[in-house]
Amino acid sequence: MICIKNFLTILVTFFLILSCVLTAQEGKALQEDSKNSLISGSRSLQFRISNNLTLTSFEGAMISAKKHFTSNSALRFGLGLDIRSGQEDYGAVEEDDNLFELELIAQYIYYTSPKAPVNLYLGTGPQFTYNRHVQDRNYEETGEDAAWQYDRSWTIGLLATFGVEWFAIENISFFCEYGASIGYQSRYMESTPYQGYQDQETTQFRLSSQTVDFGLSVYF
Amino acid sequence: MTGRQKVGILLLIAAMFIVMGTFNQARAEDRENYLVRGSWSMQFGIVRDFTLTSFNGGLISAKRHLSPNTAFRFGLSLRGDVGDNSSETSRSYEQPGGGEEFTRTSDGNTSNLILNISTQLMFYSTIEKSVNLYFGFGPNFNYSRDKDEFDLEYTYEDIPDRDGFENRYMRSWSAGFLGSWGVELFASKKISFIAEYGARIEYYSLYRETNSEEYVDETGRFENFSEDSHDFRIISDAVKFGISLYFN
Repeated sequence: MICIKNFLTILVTFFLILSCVLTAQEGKALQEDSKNSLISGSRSLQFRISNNLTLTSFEGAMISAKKHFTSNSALRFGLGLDIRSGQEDYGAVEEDDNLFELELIAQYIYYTSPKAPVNLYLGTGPQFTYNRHVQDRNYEETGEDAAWQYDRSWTIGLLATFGVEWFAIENISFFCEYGASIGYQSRYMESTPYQGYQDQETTQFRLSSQTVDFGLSVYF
Repeated sequence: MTGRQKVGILLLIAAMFIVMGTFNQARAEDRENYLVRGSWSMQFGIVRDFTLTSFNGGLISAKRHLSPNTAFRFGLSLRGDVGDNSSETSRSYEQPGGGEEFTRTSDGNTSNLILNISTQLMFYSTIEKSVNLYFGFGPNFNYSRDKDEFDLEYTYEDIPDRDGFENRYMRSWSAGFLGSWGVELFASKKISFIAEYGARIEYYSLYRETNSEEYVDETGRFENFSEDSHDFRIISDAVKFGISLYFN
């Protein structure tokens, strides 16, 4: 118990000293102008840089784009849409597989100092996702149901991001960002495995940290 | 030497570094790095295949220079959810003498929270070079809580039904001090690569509890389990490699 008390005393002392130091010191702005495309009317496409520097989709599998209203503010928009419908033949059993995925993200992005070589930005905006996946297996000869699986989920929430963008040249930049989201998720699953039936319904309020995003922005 | 005296000496050393740092500020413009008073930076971890990840916290890892020699680094991770969960499972079995069917229904709620905060005061032993040695120390706090509560019901075709509940609870926290020492290489004035070792000393507490009850007619079966553990521990953290991007 004494040990915990000592630890707490040290923690409180540390924070007090630190807050004094932070208040006493004034940050000196070292602003350096640099050429970049953070200007009113500029548009850009974003790509994620993943393993071994391969490019993949960023916010949304279909498109991730940004438009600047002023040098400080922009709207970033991501759309992902995946529709798949297929049929597999496993001999005695055939399977219908239908998938629908939709993701919409819009973020208002604010740059604190758009003339700097490395720019800090903050963003916030809504996010919506909808997924529906149905797998239906039937016996080929009789047409009777062998197994059926239904999975539907949707999420609505608010995203927040904070990151930095570094311009390699005037219209190409690299960015890294942290992010968090708060949202409501609903999921319903139903399946009919062999001689049975199963369903599950989950609703959740969730606050989560997003994975760090590393990407490339190309301005035009 | 008492604990308070030790803390006093550490704080005095910290103050000396801050004072020394203010004298070095004047020469900041000549240097090929951004270790200057008032500069901010964000840190990102670099893992296998040049994938970027979180560095000192899942939500953010940032650093602010109080002087060229000293800086304050802050990391935060926060994750949590609260929700309802209901499920129904029906199974039927074919067996000699007839079939049997049973249904399991569960209805409950789940919640969990994870919070990690780490703050460090960093001291740079050199600031003029393109590769600079630094070390830092500061408090670290972790908290984790996980709770599930479920009502369960088993319905059978031929035998009496069973019902009951199952509760699980886990709470852990740790508070201590982190120490880190590493090098920072400036690739350009505002972009640097960092590699650091680290260790922490902390007090760790864990409490776990599971309760379940099950009734068949008037007969009940109860199960309770609880665990309470406390530890002081010294842990070497894995080597961290990352990139720091400076801005104001």
